[in-house]
Amino acid sequence: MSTLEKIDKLDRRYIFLGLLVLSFLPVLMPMGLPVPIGPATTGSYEALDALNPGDIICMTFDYAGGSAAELYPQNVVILKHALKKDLRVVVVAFSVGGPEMGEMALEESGYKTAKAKGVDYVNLGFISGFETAMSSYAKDVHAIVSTDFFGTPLSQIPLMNEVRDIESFKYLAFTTSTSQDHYIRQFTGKSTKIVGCIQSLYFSVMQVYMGTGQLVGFLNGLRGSAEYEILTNELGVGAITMDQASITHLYGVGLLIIGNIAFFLKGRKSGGS
Amino acid sequence: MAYEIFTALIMGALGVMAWSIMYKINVGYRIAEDLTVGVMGGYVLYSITDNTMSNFITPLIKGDLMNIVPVFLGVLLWGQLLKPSSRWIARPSLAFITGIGAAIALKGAVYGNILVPIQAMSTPPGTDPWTVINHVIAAIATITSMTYFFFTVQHKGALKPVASIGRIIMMVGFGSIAGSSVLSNTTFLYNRAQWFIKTPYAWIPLTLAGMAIIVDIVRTKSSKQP
Repeated sequence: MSTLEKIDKLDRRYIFLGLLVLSFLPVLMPMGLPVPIGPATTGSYEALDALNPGDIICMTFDYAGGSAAELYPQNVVILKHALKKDLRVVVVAFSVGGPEMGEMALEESGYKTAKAKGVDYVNLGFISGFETAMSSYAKDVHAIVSTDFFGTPLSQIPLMNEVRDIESFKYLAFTTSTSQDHYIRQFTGKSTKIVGCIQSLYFSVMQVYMGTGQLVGFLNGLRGSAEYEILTNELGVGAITMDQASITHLYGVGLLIIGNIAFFLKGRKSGGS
Repeated sequence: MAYEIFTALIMGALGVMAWSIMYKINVGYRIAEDLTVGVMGGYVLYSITDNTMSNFITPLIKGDLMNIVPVFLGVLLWGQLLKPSSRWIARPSLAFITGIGAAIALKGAVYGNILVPIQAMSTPPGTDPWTVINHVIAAIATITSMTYFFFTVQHKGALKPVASIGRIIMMVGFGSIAGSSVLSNTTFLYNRAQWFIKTPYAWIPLTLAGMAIIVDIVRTKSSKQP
């Protein structure tokens, strides 16, 4: 059997095995490959960095565990940066699985240990209605939310006395595993600086909104987390992932080239069809 | 400590059960798949019920009569479960949901999705040559892509090359989205790989799964021999 035939008949499971091995390798032996920082991440970082201590920011958690691998590290790194800047945070979710992700991110970022609940941070929980809820939230938070995630009435939460509508927040980072159009429609055009935390899948769409100035920046999947981690000097999950992504993508490109060469050579041998 | 070991073993086992589809479809994969769907379904049901109770039913019981409207409309929605001749009961609620949803989306879309992008496209891009080039490319991409979907006139003459450029630009766009989705989907693998390496005892289910696969390969090969 020639090499060409061997490649053609290669069991796809060997390709999966190679992918698994290459995913584990950088975790065992970090390579520290360079990660250039793009304008989208820089914009997100600078907008938060320009805020004053005590300013209130909002973070939406509109995803569940299934998308956490890509989105959760983004939330953690932004919250760590906010904690360094001594900002107050309002966490809210327009998706059912979001409140728990918000709780985990507040815990991991250090907000829960370093700051006072209800004074420096609050988790408003899940608000049903998605875009309709976003619209109401942007207009009057108290009209649509009566208690926080733990059932405490908003009137008993000091932080919420300073929050009326979206313009009470100097910065809003929405995190979503679906389309971003809803956030653009309901949250942009106000004085609040808007940042998107998205899956890499939506990178192209977000570029448009950044080009129009509707977003000050966005974090592009784990790549965005890695870049933000470098900017804040809080190296975490994202930085290691970039080694994994680089090496496995090289593997993918290599397979693509080999596959195409084999395909064309095979075509030539069988009469060029 | 015991809890951490137990969690690591369960999470690790579920992880390798999900990954096992890369080898072949098996019972372990089916269990992991059904468990994921079932747990998520259960959690969604719990959250929505809890949300409805705390925001609408409890205030209504306490005397906030304004909540009678959303509760009534919500109850009408259950009319969808009745026999076809009685399903009209749900229509007022559906009309309410779609009407309000469309109005809110359209109101935001006019500004956010139409006016601002048009304004950005029509604003002079400044003096930076790269920004100017980018702006020109964006303008060409917009016009040619829209031309491709202009079906009232046949694509021939001058319109044909313009529509062809639009098609190529869309292909570049779709290619970019496909590439981004590969990065997006492989992220789950990277995340789990990090977890398996960094979590104590997580190597146990991974090793056991590897051994099970080796045993299966050997068994399959020996059964194929004459």
